[in-house]
Amino acid sequence: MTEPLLEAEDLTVQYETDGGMVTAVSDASFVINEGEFFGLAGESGCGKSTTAKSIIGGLDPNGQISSGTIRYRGKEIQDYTEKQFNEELRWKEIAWIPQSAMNSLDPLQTVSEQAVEIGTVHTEMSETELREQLKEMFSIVGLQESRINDYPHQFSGGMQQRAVIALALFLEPSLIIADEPTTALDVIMQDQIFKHLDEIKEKLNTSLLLITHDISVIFESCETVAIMHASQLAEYGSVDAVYANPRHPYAFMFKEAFPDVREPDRDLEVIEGYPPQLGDEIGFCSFVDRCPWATEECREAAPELEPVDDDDPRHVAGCFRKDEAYEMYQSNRLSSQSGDSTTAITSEDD
Amino acid sequence: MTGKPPLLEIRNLRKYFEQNSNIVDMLLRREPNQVQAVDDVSLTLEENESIAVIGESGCGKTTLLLTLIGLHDITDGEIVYKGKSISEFDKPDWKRYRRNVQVVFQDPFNSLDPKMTIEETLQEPLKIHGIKNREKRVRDVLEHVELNPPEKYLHKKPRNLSGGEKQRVSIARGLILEPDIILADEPVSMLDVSTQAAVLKKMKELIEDFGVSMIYISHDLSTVSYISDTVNVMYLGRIVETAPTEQILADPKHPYTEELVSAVPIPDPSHDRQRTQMSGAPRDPVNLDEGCRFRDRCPAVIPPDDIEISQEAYREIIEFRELLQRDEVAFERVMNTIDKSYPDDRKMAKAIREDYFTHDLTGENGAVLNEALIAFANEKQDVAVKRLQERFKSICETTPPTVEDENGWCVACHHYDQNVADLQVEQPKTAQSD
Amino acid sequence: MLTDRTTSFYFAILMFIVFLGIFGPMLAPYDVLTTHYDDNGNIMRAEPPSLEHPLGTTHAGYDVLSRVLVGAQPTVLTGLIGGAMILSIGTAIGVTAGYVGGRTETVLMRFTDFVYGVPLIPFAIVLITFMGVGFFSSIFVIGLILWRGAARVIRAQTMQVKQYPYVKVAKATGASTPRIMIKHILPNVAPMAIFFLAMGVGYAIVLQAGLTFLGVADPFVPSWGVMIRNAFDSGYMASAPWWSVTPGLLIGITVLSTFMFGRGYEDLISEDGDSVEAETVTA
Repeated sequence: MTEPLLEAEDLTVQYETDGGMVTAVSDASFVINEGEFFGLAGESGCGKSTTAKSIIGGLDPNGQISSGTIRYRGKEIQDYTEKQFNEELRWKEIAWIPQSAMNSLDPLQTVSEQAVEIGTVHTEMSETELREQLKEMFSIVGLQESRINDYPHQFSGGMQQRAVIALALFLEPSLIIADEPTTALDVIMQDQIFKHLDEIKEKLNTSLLLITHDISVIFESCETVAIMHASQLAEYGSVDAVYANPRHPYAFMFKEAFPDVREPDRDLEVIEGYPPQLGDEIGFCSFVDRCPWATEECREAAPELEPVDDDDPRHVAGCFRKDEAYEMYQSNRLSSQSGDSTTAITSEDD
Repeated sequence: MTGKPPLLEIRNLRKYFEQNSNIVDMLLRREPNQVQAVDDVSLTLEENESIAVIGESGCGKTTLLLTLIGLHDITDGEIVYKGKSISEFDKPDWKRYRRNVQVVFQDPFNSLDPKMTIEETLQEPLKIHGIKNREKRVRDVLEHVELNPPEKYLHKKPRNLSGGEKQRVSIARGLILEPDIILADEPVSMLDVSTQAAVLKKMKELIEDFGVSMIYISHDLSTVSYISDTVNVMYLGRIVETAPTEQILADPKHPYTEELVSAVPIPDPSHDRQRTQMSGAPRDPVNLDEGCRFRDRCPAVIPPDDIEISQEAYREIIEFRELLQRDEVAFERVMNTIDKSYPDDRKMAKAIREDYFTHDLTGENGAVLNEALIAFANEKQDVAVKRLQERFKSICETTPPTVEDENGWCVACHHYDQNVADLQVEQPKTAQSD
Repeated sequence: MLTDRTTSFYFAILMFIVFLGIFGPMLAPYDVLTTHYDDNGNIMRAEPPSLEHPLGTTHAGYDVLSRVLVGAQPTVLTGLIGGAMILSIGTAIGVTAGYVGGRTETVLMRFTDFVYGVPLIPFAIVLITFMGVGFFSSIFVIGLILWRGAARVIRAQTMQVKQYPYVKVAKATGASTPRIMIKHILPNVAPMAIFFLAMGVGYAIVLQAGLTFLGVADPFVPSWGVMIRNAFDSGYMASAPWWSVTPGLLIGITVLSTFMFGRGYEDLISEDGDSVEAETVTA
């Protein structure tokens, strides 16, 4: 296997607040390969955005990487300065697609002017080359090439979002980080955006780190999924493996909480309670208070990510009872909804 | 049908807004722009039924809801509650209506008065309607929405509740008057999924256990499918399709519904779904003409019978002609791409064609297009429009009739125009090239 | 509420000034209109502070400390009445215009604009020629003019609050317009209103001193403003600073602390004041 593109190892990120240290990411380890679409899912406040920000040096001033390493193409970047991030990584290696496109374009400059500005800071390319690059990216995201000289207000909302994507991509970064890029959009618009991301991946072999609360988007568009709960990675592996063999209670409950149009009558899973606020040291499983299968053991130490016994060698779960919990869950679920749900399941294929 | 009128009936409802005109418009006595937020919408809500209205943002679904609760005046049409039109309501009728029709909004963070405790919030509706025994009712309703024990919540302010708890309080407030109808505007879209499921479940229970009817407004088909029996699909102010939820998910008829259903992500990696074929976004609902609202994005616009043309090429022509009619063709921009020293209408026409058209048009079609473009290059816009209209006018430019079958399934699309009998014959899917 | 230290500090000062306003006259060592003589039988004209007269005397031989203590009362009254007028007129007009809208709003806001165009001092002089020079009439003049800023800002706030779904829900439930204004709008614009009260108190005191200074308020009520005026008129302003500095400082402190307290209070009630947060995390 080739060298991974991005590698996080035991990453811990903490914020300093008035109420003391708050841990947002705790001992997270994951790998993103070249050309891989990697989805990071979880509820709001679980640390997924913080993880993304720490990769690109975008943490808030009171946040810091307390321990662990992040390697980009084998090079450690967790201690990079603002200058190093700008010179070596941002835009040309790692690009960021923000949630709100409307606010990320400068209304007083045309898109091509903004692109040239970014390009001259981060690369050696000439203005003409930069414009050509942007044109090419415009056509990939489905915008007319000639419109690179338009001002942001001349685009409609959906087109602006695409212009932002084109801008994020025009220096052909190897990794795109997208933080809830479609959360505010309707399904059709969302689908359009992912269609373009698919094309980009195909053409440029770009990797994507997709941060979202919507696991259905990840299951559909990514190869790998990581599910996070209150700063800890609960489970991580290929989407097929995690879908078929989830092991961490949070992972399978989270998955089952999503309505599926194919089974409108299915009983939705409810996860009781809320993710806890975490202090400086986390010596326990952060899901313990919400987990129906928790035991004393879960309070005494933070679970390590351990391999799950299936076809996917990368599939790991951080749960002390990973082998029992899912079985109990399954049998419980089957017995509680015997009969009526089976019809829904058989009619799902189309 | 029995003699009993439906609980709520909306008949050909229109709600237009006048767009603010500026002083120049006023001086020139220009007609103010009409925003056709809700346009000829008819719906029926029976007792103990849950129907959904779904559509993209800006399709008019929220305006519909605000009109239903009487916060907007009606431009045209009727809202009939238990057999009486609200335009004929007297004061007691309004009071009764406001008691029996309750609303739950999308945003739990702004739906509760931040200065009131939960108890005060829940007592307000009771006080307004002079209902006694308030304390008990407040406790009961809190228990119903599973905020247990009620004492824990009564004296809290909204800011001390989580999003899910707030939304439960909103629902409790909607229920406390024991209404017949709850209008819910995307009540779970801002909640985390763990909470979302719980709130959805609760609402479903309420419909079933309390005999409440509900109009559920959303852009999210997956939650809609969980809660509603019937789905109304709305596009640019009009209902384009109405059908039982399962039917609409399994076999959408209207091309827009088809796109909408197929764009819903499926939480299953083994499910292979095609990405949407649609491009662009709905246009602004301003000064819309007759005709199908969806025709500018429709993958199955119907060309005239007598011409031979591919769907893509045809759509390009229709799109271009509409731009032309709205005076939105970027003439300047295209002209910048050519050598301007010899203004030559043919060169200009060619440049426009290259900019706006990707599909080759041959024979008569191509000739007509060229003629039109040359007319346009000579600034004879109306000639260009006329020329294109003569040859390429689509039946979709006339308002499609709403076709209904005996199972309560309705669609407004020319593909189903002829008569209900051969509904199944002409599937728009066949018109799609891929 | 008073957990914030700065706010409680200014609150203490305010309380002290109100205390002076109530009990000042009782604490005064001398009558304010008694002329004091020295051992030689000469009037103690503008004597510097001494043990007998800790804040010195005026050019007429009055005791400055006594005058300051007695003057607290009219000053506090000015602040309270003036501030209350500004608050009530401004809020009533602002909330009504903002919530009701339409023609009512147009009329009320054009009237507000009109009042904005009225220059305060000339208006005060004209009005007082009709109402007669007097302590209370000078306060009314202030109140009748200065509500204009409050009205505008509170109207804007009301329009914002009006857009919130909870107001729409109340309307849909059948709440009457006055009910919505009282139950939902007022409590939610209250922080802004309180801020205007604080500003109003300060403005009223300063302006009344100014009006007294110009001679359009009653000069025989020895408010702090009147004291400064007397000092100025007598020509002893520079040579006997103890006479005017103390009332001047007190006016400054009163205005500053009302202002600061108002701001602090606004911050406190608009953010999460109650200490229930810890509870919710576990809820």
